Amino acid sequence: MCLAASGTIVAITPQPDGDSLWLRARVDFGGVRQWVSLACLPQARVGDQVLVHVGLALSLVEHEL
Amino acid sequence: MNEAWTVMEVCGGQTQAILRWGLDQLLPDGMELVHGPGCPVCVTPAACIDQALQLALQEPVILCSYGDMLRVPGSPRPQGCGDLLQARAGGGDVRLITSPWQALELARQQPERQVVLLAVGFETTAPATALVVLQACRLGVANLTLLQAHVRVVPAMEAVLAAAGNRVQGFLAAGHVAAVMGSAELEQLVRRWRIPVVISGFEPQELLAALELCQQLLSAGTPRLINAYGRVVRPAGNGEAQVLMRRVFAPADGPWRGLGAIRSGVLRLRPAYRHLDAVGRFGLGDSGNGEAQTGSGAPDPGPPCHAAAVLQGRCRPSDCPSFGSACTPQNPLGAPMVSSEGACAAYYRYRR
Amino acid sequence: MSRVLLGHGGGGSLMQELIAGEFAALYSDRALLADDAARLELPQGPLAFSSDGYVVQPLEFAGGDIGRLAVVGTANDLAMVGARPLHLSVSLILEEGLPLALLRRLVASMAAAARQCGLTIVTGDTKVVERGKADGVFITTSGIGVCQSPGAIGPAAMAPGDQLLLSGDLGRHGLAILAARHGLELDPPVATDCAPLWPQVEALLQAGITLHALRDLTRGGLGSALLELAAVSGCDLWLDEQALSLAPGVESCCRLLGLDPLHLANEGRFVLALPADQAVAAAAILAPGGGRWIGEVRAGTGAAVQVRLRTCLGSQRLLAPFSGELLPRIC
Repeated sequence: MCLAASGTIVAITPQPDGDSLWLRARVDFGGVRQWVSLACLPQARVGDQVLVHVGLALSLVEHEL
Repeated sequence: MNEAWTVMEVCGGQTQAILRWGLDQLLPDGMELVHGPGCPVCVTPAACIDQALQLALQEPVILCSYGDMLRVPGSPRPQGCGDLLQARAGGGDVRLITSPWQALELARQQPERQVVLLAVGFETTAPATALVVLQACRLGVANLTLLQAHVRVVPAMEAVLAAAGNRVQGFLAAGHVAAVMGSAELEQLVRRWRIPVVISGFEPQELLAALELCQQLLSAGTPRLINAYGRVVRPAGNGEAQVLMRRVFAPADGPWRGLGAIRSGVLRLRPAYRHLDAVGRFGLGDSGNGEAQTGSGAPDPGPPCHAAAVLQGRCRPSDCPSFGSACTPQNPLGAPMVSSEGACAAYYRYRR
Repeated sequence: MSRVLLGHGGGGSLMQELIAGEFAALYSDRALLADDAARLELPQGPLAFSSDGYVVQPLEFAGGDIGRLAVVGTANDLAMVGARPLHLSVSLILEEGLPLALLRRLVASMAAAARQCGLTIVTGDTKVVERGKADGVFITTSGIGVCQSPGAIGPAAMAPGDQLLLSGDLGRHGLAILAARHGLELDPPVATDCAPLWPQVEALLQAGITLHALRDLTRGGLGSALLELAAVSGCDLWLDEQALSLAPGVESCCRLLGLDPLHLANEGRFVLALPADQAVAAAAILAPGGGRWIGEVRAGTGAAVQVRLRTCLGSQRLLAPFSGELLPRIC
């Protein structure tokens, strides 16, 4: 269940009205880049590693392992 | 260490990883692994798929779903079980999506069509569906509806423990559900059933480490929750995702394919969003509890199917007399054979 | 099954069923069904003959297009029976409204590919169908080549103890197509591996290597090629998963979409089975292109033949069957 991949945020689209409903980020998954919703991780910043499922970032991934 | 412990990995993704990496050959001594019901595609009620098949063939409808959903058969019928790939071959407009925003985008691009999102998944996937619902409402998109079968994983774990003949003594909990829901529900489960639970990731090393921890808890007789996926899972989970989910969905009793009704086991759209329910929009009648049981419990005494026992960890896929013969991924008898994440299908792929 | 599914064209088990169930009656000799090209024993010498249709979308993708694929693909099918590709026919089905500029690019690409393969396009045909009755361009190419191997090359010659070599890394073509279809941006970019295989096959033959079986990896990837070889030869195949090298981006993309890298398409790779005592020499010939040893052939043990992989953890598993359509999954 729940195939998710972690990638690194390379860019975040600016939100004119500060409404996180539409917040999006460009995420690099080991050489493959995709747009991802940041609506559930508004605190994420460029350079953060995030876990993404069906195009929604769900968790900040700590750098370890 | 003479005691033999039976541990269930709940999540189909973990089942897949365990068999993909042959981890069942590398288990700690004295541990038996059984596979859980955690494949939302498998447990989507056949009646819901029947509705999707029916909708896909209606002229204005574009039916969108995830790839693994497209080959899950609906109820057995005289002409064989249909799936959405066959509906597409029969003229239905069925689109493969990898995120629910693709359905929203399609609805905005083609206002003259009716876009139906067949939305399935556990609490990992439900927030994305909820977000798309809220965005569609905000944008005033009138031609997007949901055929939704989101389910909740902890109630299913409870159902496994409550079933007669249960053998499960410890759980590996699904890491990505926990990333959203945090540990509170699992803490309650541990307290109520006095059973050890280890939240695990999906990499082979993570799974082996989690199994080892689970065995330690079992040997020590200390039923506790351990978060072995701390690099991703926070105790509180993802608050924003939980809020989104609660705004749009409410827990309800409902059917899981192969397991029957589970108390508080599904999510339903809240009244404020019912106008987005494809069942109402297209007058499909309630999929409710009218689940056509696949395999076990079906009135037709065809080849035997031990789906319910497999989903509850009471037997292994390969213990079923129909496994690999009467029942294959091309011609599944029971829920765990219908998607590649199902325990039976994973056995068929990697262990025949 | 009452209708043809997309998966029936995907190079997996569905296609095998369709061929065995529906097309077998067309062929004079069922054994011919299993090969990429037919070896015809003519009085003047053995000739190879093959035909292939191309329907890829998008028509142009990183590193190639449908025109290049149509020329190189058929040339490669000829090479897989040990034949030097000589001449090709090209049949085009064009959809009304196709931009002429695009058609010109495809034709130029076919001409360049023919030069690269060392073959000539000698005859052809063009049809135009109403808008909506085709998807831009469909191309069918047929080709002939002269067989340069001493005997027929085919999986029937495979025997326990044979070694398996793979000519390069995996997944480039499939990745380029997936990226274009699913709007994925690849950084660094990955282009299709579409390339003529005859030069490598010729080098092996000139070195006196005995080739028991050759199979180019197209739809269905290495996985389908191996399952087919196992089925036809009646032998089990054992692979060392660590020996397989994936092109950059392949692993990430497969992780993201939930696909098996062994099922991604390739257009410039082949797998070969050969006697163990020649494996080192053959691997050295293929090494410049990334070729290497990947596994071995063993006597079939179970009721059905198996392709087994040893994982990097020391465990083993069966190679997953592939129905024919790559479906990204969420769970």
